[in-house]
Amino acid sequence: MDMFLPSCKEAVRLQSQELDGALGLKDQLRLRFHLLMCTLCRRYVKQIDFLHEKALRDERLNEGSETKLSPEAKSRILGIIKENHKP
Amino acid sequence: MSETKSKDPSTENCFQPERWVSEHGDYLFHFALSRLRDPSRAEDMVQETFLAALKSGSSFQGRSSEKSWLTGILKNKIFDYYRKSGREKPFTDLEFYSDEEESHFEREGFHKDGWIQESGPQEWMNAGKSLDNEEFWITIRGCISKLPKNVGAVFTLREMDGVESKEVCRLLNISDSNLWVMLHRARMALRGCVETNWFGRNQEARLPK
Repeated sequence: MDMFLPSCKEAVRLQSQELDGALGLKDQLRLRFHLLMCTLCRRYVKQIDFLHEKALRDERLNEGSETKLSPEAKSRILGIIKENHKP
Repeated sequence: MSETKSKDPSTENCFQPERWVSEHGDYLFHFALSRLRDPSRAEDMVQETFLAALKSGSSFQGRSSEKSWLTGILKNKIFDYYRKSGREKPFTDLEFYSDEEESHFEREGFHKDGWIQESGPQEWMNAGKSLDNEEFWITIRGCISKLPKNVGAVFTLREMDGVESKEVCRLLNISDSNLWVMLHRARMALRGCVETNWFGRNQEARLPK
């Protein structure tokens, strides 16, 4: 049975490996076959794809304003840049 | 013509360290901190980035924006740091969340290793629309920051910086199979965290009208 139809636990692992380009043809088929029949795994795979393709590659992910350089750090860095700048 | 010239930071009269630090300092710091998890190291990286930029000013030719040019320099500094610390101690972390992974699947019986109904993935409503909501980004950044440090390094390199798997293994000195395990667990943990903290209850109220 395992040969043809992976469990949900294995199917989601296979999908992750597929995203990293490391899934052989046989396992690709096993994954597709499982997804045909399993609503929850289809949902999971779609969500992981959404994160992988959209959210995690979006430039807005790096635009966090939650953390900032302290004013002290800024003036320290500025001082060092000026020190190292020899026209 | 004169306008493009005045934007080129390599020209002497345009050396504006104050502007560099005020315009890009916070961005670069956040970028470094989210990958290194160490505020003082992140600060040092920002400083080194500006110094390197200063030295190689002539290599910036306005092809990309100043910000992405600086980010590229910073990325290389971060990769160098990973390479160095990976040589001393590989980034492998396989303990991480194996229990949590187990808790989603039936342990025995006919449905062994199938989803336990109530802890399986929930429907995500309007996932695409979430991308336009600043709170969504705060949530997802928070979830990424909760990944254990080594797993976070693997995850940000592969998923956010788009580094190829083989290259991540080389940088962090881990094996292929360890990389797959870590990435799978990280993806699973992130999915769960985003689901709980964003797609969970009251989502409708938070979406933009």
